[in-house]
Parts: sequence; C-alpha cells; structure tokens
Amino acid sequence: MHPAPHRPRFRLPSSRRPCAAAPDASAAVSRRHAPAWLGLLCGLLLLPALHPARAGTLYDQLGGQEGITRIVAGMYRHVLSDGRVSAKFENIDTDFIQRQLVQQLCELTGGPCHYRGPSMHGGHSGLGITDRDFNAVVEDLQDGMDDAGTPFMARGRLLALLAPMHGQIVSR
Amino acid sequence: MAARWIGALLGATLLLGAGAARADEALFESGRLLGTAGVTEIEGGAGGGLAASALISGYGTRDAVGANLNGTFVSLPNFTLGAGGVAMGLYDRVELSYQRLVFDTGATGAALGLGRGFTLREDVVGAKVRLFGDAVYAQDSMLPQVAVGLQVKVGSHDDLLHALGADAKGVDLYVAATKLLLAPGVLLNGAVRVTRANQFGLLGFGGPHGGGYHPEVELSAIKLLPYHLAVGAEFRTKPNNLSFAPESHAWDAFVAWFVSKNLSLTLAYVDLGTIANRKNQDGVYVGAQVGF
Repeated sequence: MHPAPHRPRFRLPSSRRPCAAAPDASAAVSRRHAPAWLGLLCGLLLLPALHPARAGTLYDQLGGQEGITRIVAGMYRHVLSDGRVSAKFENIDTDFIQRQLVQQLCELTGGPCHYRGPSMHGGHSGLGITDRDFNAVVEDLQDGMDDAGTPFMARGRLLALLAPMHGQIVSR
Repeated sequence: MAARWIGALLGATLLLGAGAARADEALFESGRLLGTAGVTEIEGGAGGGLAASALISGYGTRDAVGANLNGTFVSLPNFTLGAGGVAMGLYDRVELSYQRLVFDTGATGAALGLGRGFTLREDVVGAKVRLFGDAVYAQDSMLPQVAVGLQVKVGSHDDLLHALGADAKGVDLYVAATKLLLAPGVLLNGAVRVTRANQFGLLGFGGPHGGGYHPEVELSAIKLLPYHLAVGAEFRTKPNNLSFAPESHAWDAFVAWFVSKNLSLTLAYVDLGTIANRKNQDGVYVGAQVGF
C-alpha cells in the first residue's frame, strides 16, 4: 500500500518524502522484513492527501522516462515560441538543458535516476528571472503536459513538486 | 460617494498606467497563474462568492498591477440581489475595491410596508493587505497565505435603518487564510470577520439584540478540475442583531469556470436562509468577472 519498494535507486532528501524514503531505510536493515507498522503509519499519514492513483510512483503516472521526455520536449517547444520568455533561452543549449531536466524530474518523481547537475538555484542565479517568467514557463509546462496527454492528477502532483523551486529560480 | 470612489480608483489606474508607459509595459502583465485571482466575493474582494480569501484581486505578480470588474446576480424567492464593482491588486500585496450591492424587495416590499419594488443599496469600499505566507508556491509547507482586510460599508435609507434600531454605516474587519494544495488539487480558505452588519450590511449595522462587534466565520473548500473548472462549497455565519428579522447563516455550492485570465464565470446554488422574516431564501447565483 505504501510506495512500492521496487525503486532501488530512489534518492530524495528523506525530510521531504519520509514515507517514500522509508523502504530504503528499512532495506538497509533487512530488505525482507520491512516493518509493517511503518507502512501502515505512512499509509495513514498519506490519507489526507489521497491521490486516486496512489499505486505506482508519479514517475510511472507520467509515463516513465519516455513520458517525462515527451513532457519536457513539449514544454521547451512552447517556451521557445513564448514571447514572454523565449529571449531568456537564446544562446542556451536547449538539448543539454532538456536532458538535465528529464534526469532531475525522473529522480524527483521517484524514477530510477540520479541527477548530478547543478542545483536549481545555481542554474538560475543572476539571470534576473521574475515571477512572470517563472509562471510563463509553468504555463508552457502545462501546455507540454496537454500535448503529452498527462493525466490530470499527475499534473497536480508534478506541479506541487516543482512549485517550491520558485524561491530558488526567481531572483529576489 | 460611489462616484467619488470610482473616480479615485480610475485616477489611480491612470496614474499607474502612466507609470507603466514610463517604466515598462510589463506592469499589466497578468503574470500570475490562471485561477489564482479567485473570483469576487459579494462585497467586492477576491474570494469565493460568500467567503473572503487571502488572495489579491487580479493577475498581477509582485512586480505588477491587476484589476477587474465584476457583476453578480442572485435570484431568491422573495428578493433579488445584485452586486457589481471594481477591484485592483497592487503588486500582489494590496487590494483596493469598490462594490455596490442592490437588494430589490420586489413584491415583498409592499407586504413589508415599504412599497412595491423598494430597493436597498449598499456601497462597500474595501482594502486588503497580504501579510505573510504563500498560497501557491510554498507546496512544501502547510503555512497558508494570510491577509487582513477592512470593508467600509454605507447603506442607503438611513431613516429606515434607524427605525429598525440599526446604524446605516459600519466597518468589517477580517483575517483570511488561503492555501492551495496542488497535489490533490484543492483550495482551502478560512476567514474570521468581526462585524456588526445585518445581511452583509443591507439591513444596517447592529440592532436591538446587540449592537457590538461580533466574530463570524467564513469557510470554503474548492476542488480543481480539468478544463479550468472548479467546484466548491462555502459557509458563512452572520450576526443576529435585528429583533424583527432573525438572520441565518449562509452557504453555497458552486462551479467556477476560469475561461481565461480575462474572464471567469460562476454559477452557484446559494441558501441565505431567512431574510426580513421571509424564510428559505435560496436560489441561483450567477457571477462574471472580467479583468487582467
């Protein structure tokens, strides 16, 4: 019932996803004897935020690596034709950025990836990004998810993971 | 009164427009995300139909200015209630609003001895300041966006309201907290309003039962749906100051459609309970909002 322990390399700060990280923690002691009460407790804690498709990770709901790649490609297609922000992406290797973002989203959503690139803050500091720029890219991401046919509930979950990055991306 | 306030708001808008032309055209950018301006509360600020919220009107980010016009119509068995006005959001921090409410007693006016089609009016000038917290971005925190607001309300027909034992003018103060939970797609909203207003102020302020300020509660929960739709319900408690006319709490259930950042539409079933001794005042609420 709790996030399935079939994601051996799932790495996230445990403070943010304690329940998702729990299988890893228990695996360190004994892979076969994950305490049942831990799963039960986490299940109860997760109840208030009931996601209908709780079985499976967000990574799976987004369509795995292929789905995430399609979403990111769609997002950049919309970004590059978005007059509000396209200028900010001039002289940027968008292929490289796309691969980085796919890796990052893969890890963030519980996929079998390990992102090693720069942090969101490091990648955006000094670029003078405003609230409007940030939201424009969010809208382009939503359009990208439209194109990719991403299920509605998965969209909300992905946006919830990305929204807190606002503080790291937007220049104060 | 009304004309003066509309003039002041228009003047401020023009000043801001001049500033925009000078600084850069991004001042009216509509940079916030669709839906995050809420709809218009019956008394004029950003909120639901009945409940105040901590959201700031319009789609301007903290670098910009937003504004909108709204119109609302509520059809009840014995009365009709219309409302309309203008609201402005400054830098996603401060909201200024002017709203006029018009309460038509229709055939019931004659029965109440007021004359057929007797109409009560109320002007509401509102200000809201966002204090702390972030409803949208801080998805890693349960801390809501919190704002305080003030509404100065002026009723028509002072003589009638005085005869009821009520004042014709009043001030509401409220604190509102709003949080969007993106993962489940839910917007939660709660406010405490300190008020003396009878039926939003249409029947004056205070009365023989007790004239003092009283804390009242406003709650709403909204579920976001695909296609820019949202459904929700609201509940609002109200004071009970008038001896001749007991007042009930109000609730509604609505569907809102955020057509674009320039247009949103609201359709609701609203139950305002007993108004001026006419029971079961429930009916259809339609609202529209245009802006940026």
